[in-house]
Amino acid sequence: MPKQKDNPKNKQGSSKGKNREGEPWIDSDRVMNKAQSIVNSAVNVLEEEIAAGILAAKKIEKKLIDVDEIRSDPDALMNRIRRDSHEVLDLVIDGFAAITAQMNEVIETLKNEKENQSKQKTKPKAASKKPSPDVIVLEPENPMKPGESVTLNLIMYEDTASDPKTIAFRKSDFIGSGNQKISLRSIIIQPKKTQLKPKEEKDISITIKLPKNAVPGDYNAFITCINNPQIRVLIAIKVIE
Amino acid sequence: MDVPQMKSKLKYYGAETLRGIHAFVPEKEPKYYLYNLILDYPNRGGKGFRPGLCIASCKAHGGQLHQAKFTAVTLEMLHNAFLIHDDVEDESAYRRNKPTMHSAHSRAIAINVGDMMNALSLYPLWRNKELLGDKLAQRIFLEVYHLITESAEGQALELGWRQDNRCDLTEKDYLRMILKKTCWYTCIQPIRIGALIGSNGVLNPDSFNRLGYFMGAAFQIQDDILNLIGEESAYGKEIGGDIIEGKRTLMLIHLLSECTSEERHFIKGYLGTPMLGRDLADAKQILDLMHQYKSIDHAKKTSQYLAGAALKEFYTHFSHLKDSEDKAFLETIIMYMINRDY
Repeated sequence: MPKQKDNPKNKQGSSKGKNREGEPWIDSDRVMNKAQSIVNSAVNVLEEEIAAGILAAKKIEKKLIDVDEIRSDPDALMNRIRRDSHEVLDLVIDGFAAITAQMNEVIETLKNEKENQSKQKTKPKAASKKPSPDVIVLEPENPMKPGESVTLNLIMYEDTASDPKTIAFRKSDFIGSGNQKISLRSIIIQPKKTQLKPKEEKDISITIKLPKNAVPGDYNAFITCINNPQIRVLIAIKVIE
Repeated sequence: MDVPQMKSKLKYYGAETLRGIHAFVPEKEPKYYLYNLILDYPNRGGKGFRPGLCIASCKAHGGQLHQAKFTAVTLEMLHNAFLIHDDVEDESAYRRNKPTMHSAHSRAIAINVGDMMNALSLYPLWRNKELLGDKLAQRIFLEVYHLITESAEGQALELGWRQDNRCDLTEKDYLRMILKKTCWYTCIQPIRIGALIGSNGVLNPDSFNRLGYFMGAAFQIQDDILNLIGEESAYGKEIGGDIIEGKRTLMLIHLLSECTSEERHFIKGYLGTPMLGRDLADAKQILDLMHQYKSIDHAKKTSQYLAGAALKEFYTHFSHLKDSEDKAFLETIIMYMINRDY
């Protein structure tokens, strides 16, 4: 056991332990400065630990989440967004709500009009100088089950005598109530791109192939033409268990 | 609010929480070996600091006591479960003026009681669903999950340092260890959860991290100081127990950084001796060295600075709130830490 010393600061020790002759060996200012610096040190430790915690949590998330699965599961996707950013989530939800409300309005209007129109044969108004508000509504005769497929037919007819028109289709996701969504990959349009000469008629096949994890509910998807946004086709489906 | 009023309020919140703990303990066998023991530590009368902070933070933010009651029960149950396991890990002899659970029964029984207490602490969080709704209950669950993991990480650091007889630690290491071991579960998360409940999930709880950390660090350092210089009856544990246990306190780290190489060699030798083989006279000599090198004064000053920093954070985040008893209660706790004269 070491001997007890009168002055615990051994002058042979490191420079930090030295003191001048005749002065108290502890400098109170030094103690105070050290105490102040510990507060700053604490702030740094806290920030480091929080950052490390966030990083660790993200790594766990990466290990736990199957990206392909979550992409095909709108609920899980929304949950992830919710965790990552509440503000973004609120905006997205508001956006969905607005889109769904608009879609529902459009559907209601169309359903009334649809009764007087043919479901299968239609003539797009692409060449018309005056924009038409008409939207073609296509829907399968029966509700669909997850994993099921159905093909709908659309006949495109160019009723003008002007130049040939190139039709290139663009499609949206199926949007359901609330946060429900089915990826646009479930819609297959054949052909995706075609040319219509004046007075020519072409068959377009639209196949809907539902994913196995599709959530029951009513969904709407929108198809239009890249070159002519006045071509508007709404696909309405009902998914049941 | 003066200090006696603050203590009285803390006592009231503690009593309400204890009532809740009793309600959540199943009345079934095995009582003698398990369920009666679950209530042993809580009935000994802890300070109820964690539930007090949670409830006060909730009320200061516009909530009501009953909204925080289940979470307060969880916090206090977890605290007592930690204490039971800590006492085993630290081989402590006394807790709240009575023999520790493993001393009075056995290590195996104590570990099992702690395990059950951890399990029982989960159910009040489940009941939060009815009380606060799914969304808020889920957020609180994650807060509690975080505080448990942080506490276990902090405890691992402290136990590991002792196992490896680490004598090269810095104050920064110490601050990191107490952040994890103590601050999250003692102050940061109780205040965060209280604010979440009181604001119905609107407030960003991250705003309270610094406040809780500074408070928790000041609290822990003061607790360690009391272990060295306090009255045993008031402290409830053996005085100097931390030196006997080889705990890496701020005072010990300060002493190791200030003393001579000869003295460091002596301290390292003492800390490297298995606990039961340590000489009480050596422990007394280390305590004397702490006095000599003003390590205790340094710790007092440090805790005072941290409490001062906590007060600044408190004013930043609570000044805009309507004046209330609970807001004053929180302020008085911090002021008490700053003005503490041991």
